[in-house]
Amino acid sequence: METQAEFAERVKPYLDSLYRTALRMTGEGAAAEDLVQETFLKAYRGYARFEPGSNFKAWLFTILTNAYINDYRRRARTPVVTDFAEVEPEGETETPHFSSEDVERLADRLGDAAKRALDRLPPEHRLVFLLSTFEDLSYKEISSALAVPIGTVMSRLFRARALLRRELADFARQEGYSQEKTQP
Amino acid sequence: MKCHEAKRHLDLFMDGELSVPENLKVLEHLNLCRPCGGVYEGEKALRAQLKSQLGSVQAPAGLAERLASAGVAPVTAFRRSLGRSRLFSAAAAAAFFLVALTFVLSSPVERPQAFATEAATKHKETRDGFCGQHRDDCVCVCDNCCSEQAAKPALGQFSQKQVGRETCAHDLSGLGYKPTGASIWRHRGQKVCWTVYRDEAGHAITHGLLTTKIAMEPGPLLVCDGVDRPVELIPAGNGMTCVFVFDDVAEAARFRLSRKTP
Repeated sequence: METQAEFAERVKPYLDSLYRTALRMTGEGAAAEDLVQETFLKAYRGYARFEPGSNFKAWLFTILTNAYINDYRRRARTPVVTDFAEVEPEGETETPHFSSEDVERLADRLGDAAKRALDRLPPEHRLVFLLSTFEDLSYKEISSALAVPIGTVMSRLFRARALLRRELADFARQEGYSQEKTQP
Repeated sequence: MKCHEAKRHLDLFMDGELSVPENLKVLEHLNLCRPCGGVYEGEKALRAQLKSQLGSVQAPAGLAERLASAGVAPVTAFRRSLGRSRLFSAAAAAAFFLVALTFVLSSPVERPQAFATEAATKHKETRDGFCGQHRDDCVCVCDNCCSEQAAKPALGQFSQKQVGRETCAHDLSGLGYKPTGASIWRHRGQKVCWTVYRDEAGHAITHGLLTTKIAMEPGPLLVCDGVDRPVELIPAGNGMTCVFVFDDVAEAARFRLSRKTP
């Protein structure tokens, strides 16, 4: 009983975070709920193996990530092919930056444009971006959750941000705004 | 640091992935270089906008109940092998799990950056002290209102009366700062005695002992990105955190150095 109560107490602050990430990865509410439920069950069953003193949130996201990857791989009929040419277009060496005034002007419409850009990211890049940007996990924690080197985390994050900035810059141009361009 | 270096480090800086010296170098450059400062402000605004529009999704209300039901699974597994009394315990555990999960949305652990933004705002509001203000929730111990010897006891009494305990033991006199006042900050339903220190040059450090939990590693943490003022968070035992907010990076660095020097 103590373990159950303790577990319930510990997981409660992370329900929104896990659901949010699951939703952005699966793209569908019911699938996200299933993924969170699977994560909680696996976490509960494996709670005895959780090392006290280590990062509980990162541990939960490790389980979510594994559950997502296993499920995603099981469902996918063909392997995911990452088109790096699309993520980082050849010859494109400058990264657009928005001014805070542009962000303010575009504020209401940025969310939808960002959602579309995120959905276009390869899943492994999207996951790194979500864990870093919205869940505040450190590179080390993401590296541990995804079982990839920190250098891979950094390069995925760099590419994800580069693509996102370009997509948002295209969107801003369509809306009649221009951005500064700087060397990355 | 040159502009191209600052821009190259900007994402790492904003992600909190730089070492403290690198962090301070970037922050210093951003404070001095207007174009780079503009890029940083734009990135900060973009991240904040994305976070508020995409990062504020909450789990559906029914999900907690679903999870509680799913939490019965290990209990029902017991049912096959355990006696009636153990079964009763297991059912009670399931009920407890359900009750615990109903509090899912009530008291999340705070994130350092989000808290630092609030603390930086509080710093701006309080850094000038409370001289001439007649309120129950603040006290002034500046040179005009109080002798130097009486300042600390007066702050201690104020904190004891308002919060139920003395202010924490950090002493900033070694850095040339003197206490000038304190006020009560109601942060997430908890009272924090928020103390103001000033030096002769007019710098201010504001400081408080936080009882709500911050999601951070055991060591001290300097949070510079996403806020206008550097904020130092130092675990203080019993799950509490000592918070210091500085006017600028140089003062934060001086404070860090003084803590390392016995």
